[in-house]
Amino acid sequence: MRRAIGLIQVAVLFSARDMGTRKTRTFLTILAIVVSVSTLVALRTVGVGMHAEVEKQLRGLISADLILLSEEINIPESIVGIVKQVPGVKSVAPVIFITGKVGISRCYLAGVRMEDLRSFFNLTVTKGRLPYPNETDFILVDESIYLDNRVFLGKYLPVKALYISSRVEYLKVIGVSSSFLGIRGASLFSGAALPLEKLQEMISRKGYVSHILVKIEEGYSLDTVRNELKKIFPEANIVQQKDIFEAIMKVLKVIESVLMAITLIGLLVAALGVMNTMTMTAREHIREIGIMKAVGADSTHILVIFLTEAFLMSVIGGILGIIVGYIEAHFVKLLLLKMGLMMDIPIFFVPEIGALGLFVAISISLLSAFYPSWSAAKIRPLEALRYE
Amino acid sequence: MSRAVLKLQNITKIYKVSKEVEVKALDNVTLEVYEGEVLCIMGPSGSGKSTLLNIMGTLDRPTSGRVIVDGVDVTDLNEKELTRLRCLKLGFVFQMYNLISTLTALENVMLPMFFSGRYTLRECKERALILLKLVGLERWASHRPNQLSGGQQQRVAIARALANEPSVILMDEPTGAIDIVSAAGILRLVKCLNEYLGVTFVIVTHNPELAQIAHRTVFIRDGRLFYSMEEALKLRITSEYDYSVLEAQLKLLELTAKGLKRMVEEGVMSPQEYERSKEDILKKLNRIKEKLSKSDLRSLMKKK
Ligand SMILES: Nc1ncnc2c1ncn2[C@@H]1O[C@H](COP(=O)(O)OP(=O)(O)OP(=O)(O)O)[C@@H](O)[C@H]1O
Ligand SMILES: [Mg+2]
Repeated sequence: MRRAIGLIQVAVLFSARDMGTRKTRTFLTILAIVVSVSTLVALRTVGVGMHAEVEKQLRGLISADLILLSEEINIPESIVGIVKQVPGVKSVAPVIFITGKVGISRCYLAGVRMEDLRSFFNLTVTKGRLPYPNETDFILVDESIYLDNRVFLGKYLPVKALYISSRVEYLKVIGVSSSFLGIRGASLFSGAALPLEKLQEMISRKGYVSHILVKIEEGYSLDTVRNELKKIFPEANIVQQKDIFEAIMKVLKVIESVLMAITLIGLLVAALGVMNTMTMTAREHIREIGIMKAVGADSTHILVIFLTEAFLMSVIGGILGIIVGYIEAHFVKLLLLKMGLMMDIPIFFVPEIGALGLFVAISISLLSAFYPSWSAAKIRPLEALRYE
Repeated sequence: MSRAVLKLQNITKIYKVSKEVEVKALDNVTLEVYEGEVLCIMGPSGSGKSTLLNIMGTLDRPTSGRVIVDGVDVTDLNEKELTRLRCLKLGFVFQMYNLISTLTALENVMLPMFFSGRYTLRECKERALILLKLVGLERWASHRPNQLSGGQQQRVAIARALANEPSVILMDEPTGAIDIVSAAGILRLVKCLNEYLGVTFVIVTHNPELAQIAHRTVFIRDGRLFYSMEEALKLRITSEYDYSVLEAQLKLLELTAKGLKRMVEEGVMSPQEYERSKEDILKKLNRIKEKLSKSDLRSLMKKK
């Protein structure tokens, strides 16, 4: 026990002195660790923020529990009445989702009945207003469409669905929603809402929709209602909103893994850097290893001394890396904004990411320091003393 | 006679330089070191002094023979056990590069105590300070080796060697790299430590003054141990060496002449300069001729 404590004391003393004496080398090693850890932390932090934001936006997207959907616009609107009769169903909305163009923006068009607009779509109107009852020639757009087209409220924009036969209709922009049909501003999910009848008219599909959104009465299980619907419409494709979330989240995961792969390359470079400096360190210390062995240090002592030095550098590098990484995350966010992602990614400190960064820093340093330290440690004292 | 703290029995050490070439650095050496004595080992360069000391200190293993420390045969101990032995029973002072350059004098002295695991940090420090005081360096405790003179560094090394109260301190040319005045200081220190503290020393040295304070001096020549200088000198000294010097000189002159000739032919050197150099070479050749008038020398000279 005493010996172990003594050993740690020597190791810390020696490392501290050595790091202080060889400042440039120490600085470069720590820098290598800081760069890789901070990259890891920054990308993870942005990733987590993005995840959280997408999830939040998705929750606000459509509040339907079950969705009957079809690839085509071929669900008769008339089945709304039948669905409503199913026990547990609270409300039903027939909707058309279709890709289209509003002005110069490509986006999703949602054809919605006026009465469903409020209850099924979580609109946050930032400019303008919601439609008046019985208003027909209007369109609600999200912020990116609004900004891209440089329009003003009350102006008319040409709207066209991408469908076999769709005519262009000029509709009045009456309101802008910050969280309309998707992730705020992200053009990928950008969307606009217009009256269902208008859209059906434009594409000549009167009486047909692509989606039926269903809300369930409190106290009923999703599966029961779903099975009930399945009985009535055995052909129908019924999904839970949860499933859609998961599909989108899966895409996000893929993006995150690509970022992780980039980080791993960075970590590998750092590991090589640490290995290089540790090899140099060991070389520089061969004579001293000889002296220490002559005055009573064995291979384990020497190994512990060198690993302690690597450990100390990795802890310093790791902690600095976490701090720098957190700051870097803000820059990555700015960069993404510059690159066109109009998502307001929240950057917050995640303790788990900090722990991961520190763990990675320590393990790459120890792993890459092990071999050079071990081969230096097992050199025989006389060889070490003769070494020039 | 007092107890032997260190015994070498029939030690032979053969270095294999290559597959065919072997160097017999030590030849059947038997030697005892007694408690409380100062033993000096003297001998010409390459005679095997350092090899002997390293084997005493278990830093090197003998090809055959036994090493006994404090009555225990340590010849076949493994590396870890030897380390422990060196830590507790043996102290080392080498010619140079003795100290760890990043650590202060105090920390250097603390090192063996740290490794022994016998003392707390505070005790290590306290002991190290006393030891530095013992060698007259308490004021230099926080200095780095490169801020100390060679003599001071050697004192720190002695303090460090004393740290775990070893049975014997082994020194390899401790005054070899320092000036006369500092060497005298080291000498005095060794004498004091031996006289007042009873520390046992084995010292390899070329320094005859150091040998004066020794209780015993042994001599090594060609790996063999002798108990008196006369015995050692009885070894046949040949004139072969002189001849080989002349032969080497001759070869060198030959190559120089060849080089001069080429330079003149290539026009790099003026003929006047060439004549001057040639005279110089001839002068040197004459000198060799004077020294040696052997018949085989003539045949070599004809080439010029
Ligand atoms: N590692 C080695 N490999 C091969 N030969 C060696 C080795 N070490 C020493 N020798 C040879 O062994 C002989 C004795 O060497 P040693 O170093 O013991 O001499 P020394 O008496 O200490 O000389 P010096 O006074 O110059 O230090 C020499 O001929 C040397 O060349
Ligand atoms: Mg020597």
